[in-house]
Amino acid sequence: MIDNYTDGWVSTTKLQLTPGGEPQKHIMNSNKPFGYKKKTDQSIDLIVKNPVTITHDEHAKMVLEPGTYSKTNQMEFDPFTNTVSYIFD
Amino acid sequence: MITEEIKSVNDYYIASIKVDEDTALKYWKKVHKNFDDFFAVVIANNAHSEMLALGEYVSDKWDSIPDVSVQQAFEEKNIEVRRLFFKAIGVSDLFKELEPKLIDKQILEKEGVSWVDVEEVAVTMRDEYELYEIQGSKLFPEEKNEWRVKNATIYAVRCWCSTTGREYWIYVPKNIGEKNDALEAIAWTVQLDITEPEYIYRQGDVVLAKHSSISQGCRPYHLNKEQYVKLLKAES
Repeated sequence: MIDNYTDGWVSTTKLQLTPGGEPQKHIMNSNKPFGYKKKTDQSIDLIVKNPVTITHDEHAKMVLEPGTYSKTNQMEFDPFTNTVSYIFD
Repeated sequence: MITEEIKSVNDYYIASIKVDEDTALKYWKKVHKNFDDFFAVVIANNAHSEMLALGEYVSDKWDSIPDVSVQQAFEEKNIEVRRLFFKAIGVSDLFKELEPKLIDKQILEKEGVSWVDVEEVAVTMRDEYELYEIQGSKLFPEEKNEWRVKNATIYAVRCWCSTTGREYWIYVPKNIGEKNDALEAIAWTVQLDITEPEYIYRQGDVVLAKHSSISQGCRPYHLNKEQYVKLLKAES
């Protein structure tokens, strides 16, 4: 599915996991392609066939082993508008 | 450029609340880290000619807009405007200044993983979570309606980044705060849309849930304490 670039899936070797274009934020990197499909700005599905690192200027590196993942962001409540939204650090 | 005549009758809607220009300017100055941020969020996304004119007008005034302190928020008689100012001030400053009540404190200690190069190594994760409350009567002392006072009570969970040690405050809903459980509160901040995840990694505010062999897409749901404790495998 990923190899054929169908159904909204894209193949890449580098992906920023948060919107906004800040280059130091949560970058997925791999020598070999992995697949991703953006559901919303905050919600991305990932298919990893080879280990992928996730780096950030302020947080320790993480490594994703092969598998399927769903990426999201933590959420916060706003008690003054009674709304729920995503957190971005 | 907006003329003085037009400006004098301008009202603005922020979070569905009608406010005058002074209030709008103070709110925007407090919420946005600088004018460029204000322009990107408030103006550029709605860039018709009147909004562009507003952007130009605010640009001229930006440096002279006064800051809003917690004390000044309390001096605001209009409760809706005060709520806006509390929102703008943000959870960290509000909870640091108002001496909130600590209602629960828990330490989560469990085995997890970290990485040396790309090699996974076992680690013991240790996280401290604190749940705080500020009574509605403290935020809105003039409010007489008991139901409104009770519903104005706010809750926030305090936690620390395991890499930097930086402190974070996150508001949680009243029904979660009323559980008096700091782990329930932090668990609520994670919302997934798959069933039966195998584990979760958290890097800052980014959460990655690994699908198990039986995971399926589902309606988004917030984790509860048991799920959070069971699923958290790595954090940084």
